[in-house]
Amino acid sequence: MYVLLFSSLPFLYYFLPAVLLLYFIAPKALKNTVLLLSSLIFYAWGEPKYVFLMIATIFSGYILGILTEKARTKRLSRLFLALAVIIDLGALGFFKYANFFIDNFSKATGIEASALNIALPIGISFYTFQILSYNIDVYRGTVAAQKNPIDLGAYITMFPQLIAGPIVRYSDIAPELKCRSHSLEKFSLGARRFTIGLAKKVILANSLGEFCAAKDASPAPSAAFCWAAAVAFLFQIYFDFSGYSDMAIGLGEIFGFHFPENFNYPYISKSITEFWRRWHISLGTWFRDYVYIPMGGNRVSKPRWFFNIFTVWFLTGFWHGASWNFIVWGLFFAVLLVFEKLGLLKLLKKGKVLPHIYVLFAVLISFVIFDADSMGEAVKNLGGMFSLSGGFLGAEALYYIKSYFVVFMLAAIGSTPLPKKLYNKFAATGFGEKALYVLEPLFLVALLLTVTAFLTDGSFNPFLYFRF
Amino acid sequence: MKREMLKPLCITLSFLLVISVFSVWAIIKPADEYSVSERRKLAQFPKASFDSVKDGRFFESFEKYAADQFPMRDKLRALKATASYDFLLERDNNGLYCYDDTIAKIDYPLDPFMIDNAADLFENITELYLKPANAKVYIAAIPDKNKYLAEEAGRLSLDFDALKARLFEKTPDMTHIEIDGLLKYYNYYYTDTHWKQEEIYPVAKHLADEMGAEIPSFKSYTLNVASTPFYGVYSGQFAKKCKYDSFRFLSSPVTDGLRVTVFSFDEETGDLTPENGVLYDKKAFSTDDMYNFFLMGSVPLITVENPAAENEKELVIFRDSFSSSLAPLLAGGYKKVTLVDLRYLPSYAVGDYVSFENADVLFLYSTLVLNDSLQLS
Repeated sequence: MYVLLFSSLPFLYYFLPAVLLLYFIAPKALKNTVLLLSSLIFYAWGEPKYVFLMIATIFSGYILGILTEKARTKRLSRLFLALAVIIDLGALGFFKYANFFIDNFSKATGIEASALNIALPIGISFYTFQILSYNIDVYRGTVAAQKNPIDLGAYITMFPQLIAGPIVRYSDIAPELKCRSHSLEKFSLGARRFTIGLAKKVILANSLGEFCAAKDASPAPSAAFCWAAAVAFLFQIYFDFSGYSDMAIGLGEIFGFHFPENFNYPYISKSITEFWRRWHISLGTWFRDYVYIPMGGNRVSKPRWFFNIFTVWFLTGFWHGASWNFIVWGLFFAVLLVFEKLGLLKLLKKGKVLPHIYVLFAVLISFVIFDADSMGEAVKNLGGMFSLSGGFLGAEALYYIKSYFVVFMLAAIGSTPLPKKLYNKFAATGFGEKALYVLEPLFLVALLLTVTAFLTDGSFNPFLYFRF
Repeated sequence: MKREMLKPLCITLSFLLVISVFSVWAIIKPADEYSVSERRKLAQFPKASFDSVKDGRFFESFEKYAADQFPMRDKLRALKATASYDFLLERDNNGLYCYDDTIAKIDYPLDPFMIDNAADLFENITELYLKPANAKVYIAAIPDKNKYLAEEAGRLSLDFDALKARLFEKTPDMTHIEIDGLLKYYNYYYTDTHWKQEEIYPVAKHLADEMGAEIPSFKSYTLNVASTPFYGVYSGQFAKKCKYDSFRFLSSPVTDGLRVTVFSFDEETGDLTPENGVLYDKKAFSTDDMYNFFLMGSVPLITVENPAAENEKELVIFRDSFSSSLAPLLAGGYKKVTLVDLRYLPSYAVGDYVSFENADVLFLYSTLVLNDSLQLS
């Protein structure tokens, strides 16, 4: 499966310049058309056959949105919404989960059933949730149905956030779809955010990914190597995904949109409750608003409340992938959140260091489960961390830890608000403010050239979140 | 213009400048065929077809093309190497590192499957050709220079002793020759994979002694120095500036009299056809790989005949490129030396071109090939 990644030379030096040129020379009335067409090309670049599935899903969402709004009775309106939900979740269920159910059915019953020969359409989980939120919001009356199919299409397909989020709600950008402004300031903020996100992904996340790959290639990794690789993955997934979100938000800004923030230094959290307010924020709030609260949220009996929590986290895990390790990953957080709601949270609020250790440890273990290809592999990887069969340290672990020590340090510091605080402090001084006129553009150009150098060298460049 | 707009203007202009300059340059720049620094052919613009566009192959190939043909590629690769090696302080760049002016490659870890695969192939050749021909069979493994540098340089190294033990264990009927004790890292070029011919006489002597051959003394050779600086294969791959090598070679009245025949594949018939070759090819000095000076580089089959030989002994070496510089030193002890490269001549066809009757046969491969033995067939 090939995906046009933001962190690739074809995107940076072929696709993006062409789109920027066309977008900014297009008259105001045609800007959304340019966005829609370029987004379809962006999607078709790696997945031409599934572009029709996406267009069909958008079209059904568009028609059913209008029908939901126009329906004279609440019952009819609900019917149209139900139809939209069935179509959207049906497509998601078929393409993403059919083989999972077939496989588990076979294992449970012993009846052999062959898997379907279908590939997962890129970004289907993201754009399905966007269409769903649109149809639900129209039903709830919080937004008006979009009459212009191009505007709705531009919203759903918008390439900056199409394949990996953030999950932008229609209500977030509905006014901007109709009327938005462009300015030098917005462009520069967008370009800055995009470049920083690109560097987070290409320089930090990819380097950390190389560390993880070295551990995976080791025939008998030591316990220390397994722990270090778990830490590397903890940072890799953060810089990979938050970097991609930064790029998406930055591109949105360039095109005049304000996308919601998706990360807010999650690794400084003192509880898992806080962690999920800072990690993949757009997904967490989506499940809160469209699943958890409609189920009654916490305004129900305690058993029902816990049932709601487990349901939401089961779905969150399952959303990430059709595999048991993702379900276990989601339920692992459900258990921790229930403990926190039962009183642990009060204790954590009083602590200073221990709550941070608790969060980092829990999240690290969760990502070992998340990173595995199957539950069996997750257990094996966790076993490697707690077993001394490969020795405790070993020359191999020592070499790679030394080799990536600076990357680890940069990642650790970069995942806290410290760099931003230092920047703001420096910018607040008279000298700093003036110096940044020169230093900031120079720094960004240096970053952009360095990223280009890494990409030209053909370095390791996976992207973790597009498979969702 | 207001002062506060200066920074947004500078950021916007610099971003657009970088993106647009490289974009236009990448589009108008003619595609290069070959990268001298990386010693490889570069990807060309992919042919588009309905199928290749539909299944994404076109776009995947386009990404390779974009990376290979990107403007200032070598300078950007150098920038990446500097960023990784000097700023992020990573201990290698794409598996290469520089220590004491020497660039070495971390070939790690040992892959037992690859060693077994090589040993099985050698055993099959022995059963098929060598035992029926009553040949005396020898085997030796050439360590890569990282073996000698790694510990001092604090890098990882493949367990050469384990490799040797496994290889020898799987080839029980051969005579095992150990040469790793005769080498040090400075016996290899600074910037290349290979060993220096002028430094490996002890290896040639040891191999000859073990095989019962007598080669001319070291004193009989003259040391020649090429005026062209030698930048080996690692210099381009490492991408950072490095010290170049001085290229030297040994000649003697014996080497001057050696007759070389090179067998290359005839593209029409698919057969190997002989033509006269040279022991030392000075044309290689004007190419990107000066090591091809020795026995004309990569060819499937070469014979080196020694008219001055005082015996009828023949030697067949199943070999990689390390033997190109070694064979001239062994040739003095034999009437004929045949070099077979199983990367280009498959083992099932070897019998059509090579006679093993009562010959000494030496399997001599470097760890770089043994640990990646699927390239042998």
